[in-house]
Amino acid sequence: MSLKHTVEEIKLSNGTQGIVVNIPGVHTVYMTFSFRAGAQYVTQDLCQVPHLIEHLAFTNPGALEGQEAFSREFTKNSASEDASTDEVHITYEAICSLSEYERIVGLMGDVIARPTFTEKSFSVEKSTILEELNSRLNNDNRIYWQMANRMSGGSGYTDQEKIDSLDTTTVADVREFYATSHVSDNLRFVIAGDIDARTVSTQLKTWPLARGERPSIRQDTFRTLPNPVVLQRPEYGSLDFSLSLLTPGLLDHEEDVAWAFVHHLLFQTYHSRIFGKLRSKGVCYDIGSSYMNIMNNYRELEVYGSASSENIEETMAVVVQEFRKLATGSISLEDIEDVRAYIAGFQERRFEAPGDVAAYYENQYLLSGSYVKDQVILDIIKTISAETIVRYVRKWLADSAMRFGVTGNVDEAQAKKLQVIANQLKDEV
Amino acid sequence: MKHTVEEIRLKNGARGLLIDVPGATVMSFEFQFRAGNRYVKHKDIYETAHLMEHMAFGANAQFKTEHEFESEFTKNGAYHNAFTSDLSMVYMADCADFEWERILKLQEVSICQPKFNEDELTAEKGNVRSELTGYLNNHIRLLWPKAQQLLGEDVLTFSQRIKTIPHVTLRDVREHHRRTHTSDNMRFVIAGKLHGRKTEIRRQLEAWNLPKGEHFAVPHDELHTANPSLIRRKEASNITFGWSNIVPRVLSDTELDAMACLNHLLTGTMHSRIFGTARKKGVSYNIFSDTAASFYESSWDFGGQVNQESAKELFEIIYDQMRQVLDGKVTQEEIDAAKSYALGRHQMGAQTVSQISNFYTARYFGDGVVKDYEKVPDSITNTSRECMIETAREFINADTWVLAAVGSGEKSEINELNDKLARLYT
Repeated sequence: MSLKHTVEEIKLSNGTQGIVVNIPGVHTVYMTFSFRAGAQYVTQDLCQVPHLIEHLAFTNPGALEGQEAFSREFTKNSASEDASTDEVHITYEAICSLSEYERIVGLMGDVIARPTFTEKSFSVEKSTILEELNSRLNNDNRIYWQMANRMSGGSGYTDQEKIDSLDTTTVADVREFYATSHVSDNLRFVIAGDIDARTVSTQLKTWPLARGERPSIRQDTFRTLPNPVVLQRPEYGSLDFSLSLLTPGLLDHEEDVAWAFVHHLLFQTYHSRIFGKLRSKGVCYDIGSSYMNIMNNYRELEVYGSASSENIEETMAVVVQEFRKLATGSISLEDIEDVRAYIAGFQERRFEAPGDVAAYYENQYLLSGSYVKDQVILDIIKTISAETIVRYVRKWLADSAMRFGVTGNVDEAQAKKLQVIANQLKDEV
Repeated sequence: MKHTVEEIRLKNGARGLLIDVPGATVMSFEFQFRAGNRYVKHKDIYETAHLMEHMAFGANAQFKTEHEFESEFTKNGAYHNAFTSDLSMVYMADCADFEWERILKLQEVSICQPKFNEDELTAEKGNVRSELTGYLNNHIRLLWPKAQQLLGEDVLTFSQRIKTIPHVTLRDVREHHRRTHTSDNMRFVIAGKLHGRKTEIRRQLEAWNLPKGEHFAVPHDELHTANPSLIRRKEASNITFGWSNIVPRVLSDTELDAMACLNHLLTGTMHSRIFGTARKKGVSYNIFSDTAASFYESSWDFGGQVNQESAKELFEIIYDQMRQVLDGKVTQEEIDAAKSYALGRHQMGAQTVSQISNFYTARYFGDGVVKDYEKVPDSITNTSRECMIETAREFINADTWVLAAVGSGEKSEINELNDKLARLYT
């Protein structure tokens, strides 16, 4: 890792926990505050309450009246803030220069611990959220994902359900959920910059949050879908596809590194086994993959991309063939050493900015409550073997629930044919 | 990050910036040629430049295939990419500091000595078709080439570009490379730990195997106002819009700074005049504005998304706020707040080698000007209210503009929004 840093975990007496990443000499501070207060902790008819809290928190915080007054004060020296809501979390973020760090933490404290939810702001933010959600209805990848997630056993809400719930949600619902969710025991944070843990502790202790509970994350149960998920879009010129393998529990560090090796070998370069092969034939411009923790206490390995209806079957066949080859041990010592050299080199330029360092720790800590230093990951990269990687690939194929789907102008017969190809991924190795 | 910049002019006609960032662990390279879509031989083969860019990472004098080249290039985690715009073709690479010489040499091979072949052309035609077809599903990507075209820029939309792919031959690709990839037509920016390395970099670049040629002039289109346009997409859940204004001259740095300040006042924050007011009324989630200078003209663009039922109210807000600006109703207090914001932004910028490089490339690859990083705070501080208002007025007085939209509604709705904006120009 390029930027030298130290990490210290803080546990306050009020139940709040977090980590301070001290990066000497940097002039910017990154801070993230997160509560388990997402949509999974409310019923469907109130599913936009967390999202409304996220918007409303910035409208009348502390002694400031109105979003305009807050925005003027917060941004006067170019600090920026943002917030997001997902199935599990409401997360508040800020970036500021070191010179005004204390002022900005104070203002974030007002946003998080001293908001006022007025009827007027509530009405405005409902309308803004309607604008936001309507714009998301143009995002077919998102629509597909919500539909596929639900069909395979996930329990998130669709954007249309979210829009429908807004009519009946009241400001009283917002106040009630805020009171139970925004409690000190449920707060986790990551602050990164040239700051020390003691200063952070002193400041956060002053936030007037009530005590309460930190809820657990719901465990969904995904099932393999025998038929493809199809989102018909007759006007599309190409077909977007998605193949997901869903496994319960969160990624551990060795598995994460094993995936990085597989991802590089299959997808990341013009000489990779899947992307490289397809690009050299000119049959698929856009294909990629990810392996990440998702909000249902699962990890999802997804292969996604876009191809014409003439080329999509060949594309899927190559995906299945290459995963199966890996599962049967088709990976040489030379392959492994090549990938190892790439990944080790990539680490050299991965953490150039303080924001990169902050993001590395946030991604670990805010979901699982634990973290490892970058050196632990580097050590795994240096030592992971071909056998270990093959073992993980077999596990992914054997232990996961699978779903396949297509968005575009696809007929039923072709969708079924693609499903048959995808199913071969689960054939015994 | 502290850095120093030096412009070098090579004997072969190439020019570039060497940016020394002491202590950097990463080296960043960008090589630019005026070789974009506008420089192809004729519009029937418009996609030639883009296809050539894809093929540049294929077979070359040292490596028989794209696979072999890529395998060597990326072996220690180095990254490369390229893009083609209307005017430019830009090759980029980042690598760990220890392997900068190896990566620079590999870039020479791919940029100067490609071996274009039929197999790779066939493959890349498929890839480019797939890429452009994918863009047809993206409303924002659909919108802006259409707006450019309506204003009179001699560019093609994505669907028009797709139709030119079959016409491109290997001969066209080779001809484009031969004509555009000359030493005189090359500009570069190299950033990283350069102390003690500049002489070697200069020596290597002098030796690049590129013929002499010319640094092409930028094509000049006569831009004009245009009627509003709706790209109908029946599945669209809202309206994606773009409103573009043109003045037929290149704004000065002072004027661009003033407009950046004005854009911040209009759309930059939750308390901004257009975006902030719209958010306060709950009628829009996303609006931006931006001013840019090109070679012969400058543009002032606004864009965003809005629900069909909120569109009239949003455009009324845009009209009201623009009217106030044109009437000079901007306070010194507002401007001072925007300056303070911009100064803070500047202080928090340039944290990585790439960010430093990006600060210089846009301008340098455009008109060859080397911006002075240290003078940015002064130019922000000196931004004046008068310059801001006068420049905004000039855009409106030029009366060269267009409103384009993507949506599922009727053209008459866009005409109505257009009418609201048209009042500014009377």
